[in-house]
Amino acid sequence: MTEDLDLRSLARSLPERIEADAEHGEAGLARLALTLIELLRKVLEHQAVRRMDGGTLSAEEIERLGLALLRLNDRMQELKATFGLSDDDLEIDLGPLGRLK
Amino acid sequence: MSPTYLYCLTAPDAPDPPVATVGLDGGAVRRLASDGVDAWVGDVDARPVQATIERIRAHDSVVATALDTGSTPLPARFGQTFGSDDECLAMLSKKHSRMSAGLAQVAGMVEMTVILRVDLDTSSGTAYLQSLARRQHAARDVSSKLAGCIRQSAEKTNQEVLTLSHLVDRAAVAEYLDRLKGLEVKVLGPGAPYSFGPPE
Repeated sequence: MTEDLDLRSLARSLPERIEADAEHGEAGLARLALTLIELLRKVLEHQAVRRMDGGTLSAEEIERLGLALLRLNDRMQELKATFGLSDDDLEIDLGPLGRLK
Repeated sequence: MSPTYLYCLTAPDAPDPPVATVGLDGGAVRRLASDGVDAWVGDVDARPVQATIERIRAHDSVVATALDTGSTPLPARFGQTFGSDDECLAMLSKKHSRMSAGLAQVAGMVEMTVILRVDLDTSSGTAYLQSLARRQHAARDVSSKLAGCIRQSAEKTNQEVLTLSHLVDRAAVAEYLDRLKGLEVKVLGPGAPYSFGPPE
């Protein structure tokens, strides 16, 4: 996955308009924020693997990086649970037709 | 007037829904012809339509029927309804150029899916990063095996499960399956192109 492609798909996931209703607005905003964090998390994972594959990281750096990613993943699961969001809710590709209305 | 439920979009030269096609709640499926992009729709009692396993299956089965006519449809996500046929037609006309580009992109294609499972070892940072690497390498192996055989691909990760969706020429499906032989992966398809929408 290239960062370029991700940004393009990300643009599609942005709402056409933000709900003005306070309660829904908050949920929409949480979803948007988590979608962005999830995207960055995936980019970081790919980058970390690339760096490890490249052989430029020391054993200590690998452990530290892996631990950071592991914690980020755990934290993300907690946040998803807190906001009642599933992985599908954070999927940047909105399906074949996206929003029709 | 009952609300109109949208199953999928089809090219104007695609066949009509077979008479026996059964939609949501046993309802009939008909074709709504518009200028350049047609739709397979049905009537529903009320909107929004609550998602149930039976209804999602019915939706998917209508889309599969459309795919089986030989002309690849653009599937709608479950639950898209319009107040009337006219409202649906108005949407088609408004998004016409994007929808016809989307149909052109999937013409002659089907979606194939490869599902990979890589256990994530969380016993240490190093073990975790190594398992992420295994997942990434497995995906790369699949992609290199399929090089030249796929038109487009999409990737989705959900913890241990990695889903790779590919847009494949109908004529290349046998070769696609052949190339994946020997890999420890689950392959689904051919199906309708749910993962490949119209370009922006």
